Amino acid sequence: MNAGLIFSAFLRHLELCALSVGLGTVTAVSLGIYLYYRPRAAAFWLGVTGALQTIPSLALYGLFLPILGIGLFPAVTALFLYSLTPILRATLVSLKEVDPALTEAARGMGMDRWQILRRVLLPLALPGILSGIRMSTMYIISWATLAAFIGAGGLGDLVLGGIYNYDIRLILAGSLPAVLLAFLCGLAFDRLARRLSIPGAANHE
Amino acid sequence: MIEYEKINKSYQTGSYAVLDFNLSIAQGELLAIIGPSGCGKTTVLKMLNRLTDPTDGRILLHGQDIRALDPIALRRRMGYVIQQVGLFPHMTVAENITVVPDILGWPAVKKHSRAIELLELIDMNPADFLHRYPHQLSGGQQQRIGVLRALAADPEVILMDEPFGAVDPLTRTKLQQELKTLHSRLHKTILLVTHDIDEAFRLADRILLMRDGRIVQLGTPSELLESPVVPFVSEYIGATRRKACL
Repeated sequence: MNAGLIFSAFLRHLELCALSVGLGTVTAVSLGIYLYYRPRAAAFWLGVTGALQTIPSLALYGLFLPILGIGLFPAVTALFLYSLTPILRATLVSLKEVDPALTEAARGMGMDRWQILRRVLLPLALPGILSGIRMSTMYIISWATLAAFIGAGGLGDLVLGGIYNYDIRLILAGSLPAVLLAFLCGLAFDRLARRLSIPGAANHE
Repeated sequence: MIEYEKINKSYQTGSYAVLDFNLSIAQGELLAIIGPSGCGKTTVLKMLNRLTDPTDGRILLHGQDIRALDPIALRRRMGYVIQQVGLFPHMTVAENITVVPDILGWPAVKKHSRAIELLELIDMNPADFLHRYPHQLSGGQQQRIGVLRALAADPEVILMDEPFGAVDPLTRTKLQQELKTLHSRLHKTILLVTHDIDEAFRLADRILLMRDGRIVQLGTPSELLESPVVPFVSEYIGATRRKACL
């Protein structure tokens, strides 16, 4: 088996995940902030993204096929949609969990809305938001293997090849790097979370 | 100089928080507002920095209607201390103290020296405390930093809503003593909302007693004690006990 082949599939997998989680983070965090100020709309949008989550990913790829065709773009689009819910939920919940006394104090001291968001709400919600992004990343790394079905490449290619050819080594060559990727991403997120935690705070969320 | 003129604050439900309220506060005065829970004392406070606006009437600050002022700018001119302290857990003591100077755009050097100056004012060693986080402080220390934060940008008025409600009695007495010293040194106008009648008697130049959104009596501590306008005044402030203590 060709190590170069595995490596390029790995890179492609990384590309799929990074693009979709990256876009998902920007979208879901922005939407979460917006919805924090509009609690009524929040329930609706949480419902919408939650419903998206329940569509089997293979089916979603299939649905996109006639519209978006095959390749990287439809795969990233589908994965992006899947990445939204955990991040959106985490953003909303973490913002809501910030002690109202703190926003009240901030307002009373003369911070405007933007300053309250940037200096108080977001820094305090960040660890929670980060755990949402972590969760999304874990899902997406695993779901991205299915993107091989619509020609997006990645480690799923090797797994699929292995299934068609009854070749266990090929299946392992595709799945082990995916496991490794998930493991490393998890470590990176944990490290980041530790760096962001407030020094000395025992169990501060 | 602060004047409340014919203030009403009512809600759409028809209930009211403050009714027919007139008050003038002199520059440099420490006014304590006391009264049973729900009497409207916090509302009186919050109307001054426009966290809430009155339904009728107007409030003048140096003769200027505060409705005409930008609420954000107005709040930056007033210190604000709340019972839950509200120190930002992700900021150091230095950063917490200089929050208002920071949003006012003070240069870093000036902020730093201000934080040091304020800590020294209440005998907290800056080297010890500047870089600590709020959870590394005792309750009393947190309250002190909360007060310093309100003083940081040298505001003309300081609003305090049960500032020492969350600390033990011993620490509270000490904090009250410190506030008294600060007030006599800095001559700020202070509005102090409190449940603690002893606190009001210990600190205030004048005491405002409220009930059901109305003023019951406004006067110096001895006026409330010696010439209560209605029996409720003596009952509420525990006049019998207080006179016996004199």
